[in-house]
Amino acid sequence: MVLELGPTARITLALGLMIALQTILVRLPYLGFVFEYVDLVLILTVFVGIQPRVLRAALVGMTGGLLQDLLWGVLYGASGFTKMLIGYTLAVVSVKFSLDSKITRLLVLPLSSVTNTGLFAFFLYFFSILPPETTFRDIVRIGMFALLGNTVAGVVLFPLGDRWLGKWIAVRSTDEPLAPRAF
Amino acid sequence: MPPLPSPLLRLDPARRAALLVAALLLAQFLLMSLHARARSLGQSLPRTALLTLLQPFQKASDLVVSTLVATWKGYVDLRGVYAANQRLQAENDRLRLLLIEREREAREGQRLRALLELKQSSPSPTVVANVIGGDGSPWFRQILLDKGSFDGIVVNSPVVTPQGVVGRVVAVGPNVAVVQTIADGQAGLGATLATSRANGELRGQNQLLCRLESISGLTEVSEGELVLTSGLDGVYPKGLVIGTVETIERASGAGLHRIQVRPAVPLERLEEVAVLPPTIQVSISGLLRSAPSARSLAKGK
Repeated sequence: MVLELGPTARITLALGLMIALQTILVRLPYLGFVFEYVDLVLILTVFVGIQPRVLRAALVGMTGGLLQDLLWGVLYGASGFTKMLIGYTLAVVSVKFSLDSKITRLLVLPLSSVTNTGLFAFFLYFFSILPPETTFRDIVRIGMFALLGNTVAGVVLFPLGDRWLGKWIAVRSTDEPLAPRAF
Repeated sequence: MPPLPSPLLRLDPARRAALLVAALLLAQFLLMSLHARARSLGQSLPRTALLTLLQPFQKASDLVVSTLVATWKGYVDLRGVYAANQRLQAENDRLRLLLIEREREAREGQRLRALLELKQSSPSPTVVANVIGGDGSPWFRQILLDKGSFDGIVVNSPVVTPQGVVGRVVAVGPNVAVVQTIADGQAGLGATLATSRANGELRGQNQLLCRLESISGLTEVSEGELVLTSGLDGVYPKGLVIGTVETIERASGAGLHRIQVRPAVPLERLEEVAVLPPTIQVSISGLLRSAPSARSLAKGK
């Protein structure tokens, strides 16, 4: 018997998997530290966000971000806010410009990664959670590593996403892109 | 589903979606403000629920990874030597943990029970736990353990290895605990320089090295000097090894040294840790019961 899953169930499962993998991969011997700079939830948000479904992208970003916030337990809402904004912005932009191509999405991901790092660091700074001796240079260093890590991970994960989620989240030409029913 | 208010109905779907997103963003900003103000690091019901849900996956994957790594090492290295070494190392670690535990008990017994006569509420035993996950972020330095409140772990329990201090428990679920390591940017603990006996505060920096603050420029500090817990923070027992002084930017006169400390424990490669019972756990309710109430004092007068 094959279990048929709808788009919401698939995206929810994917989110859970991303969160679990995020905590597991950093424990890998020798390579684990690399995964500190890979944000799997961001990659999923971008994957969903390059389709012109505004609410879906925003909600996936928010849910994934809030789950990360819960995991870290330091500033609830920081990652949720950041990823929701990224998902929403991408989806709104993709209404006018098609971002859903293999090349474009790999260009969008580094931009999203830099925005993600910058905005998250701003919130940590704004709420005095950054360690006092953290410099702008430290933040740029983290941002650069994250950009590299996320882009490489995107190259690997986007084709997997196409295979497992692609036909469920791709918008058909008859769909109303901004309709709230979109999720 | 309740019908939308009429002004919202008049808006086109794109505007409605934008309004909803703006409202959710605002809600999350308020949540950030509330959380930052509360500064309740760690324990919350949704967090505990999420960690508890993730624990079986993390435990299973950790088992798979450690089995694969052990198998690989076992076959590639000289297998017999490796196995003997592992056995001896495990035995050595066990004995060192026992020694730490005995020393801690002796200190607790002498200082707390005999001298201060502080009442301890149900002191729980030392729990040995496996590290099954990390926070997966460069902004924090937290690890997840496969033991939780069912095993007697409580918030603020110090976490150690035979080499030294790892951190403290900041959140506990039934079968999982989150440890904030001493390298975390939010972490701080009382520290003493082993030779000069000067007390300071050790702060994490989200990097390999930690920073030792509040050491006067008049204090003689040397590179390689051992740094121990001072016990003044009320979380960590006194005398545990934190690490060694790595670099010193010396201050003159009334200034403060800028000291970097290398933790004794390889925090990025932890496998097994020991969770000690909280250092001081005074039973407030017990003290209140034993203390005369205001009413009884008034009656006595």
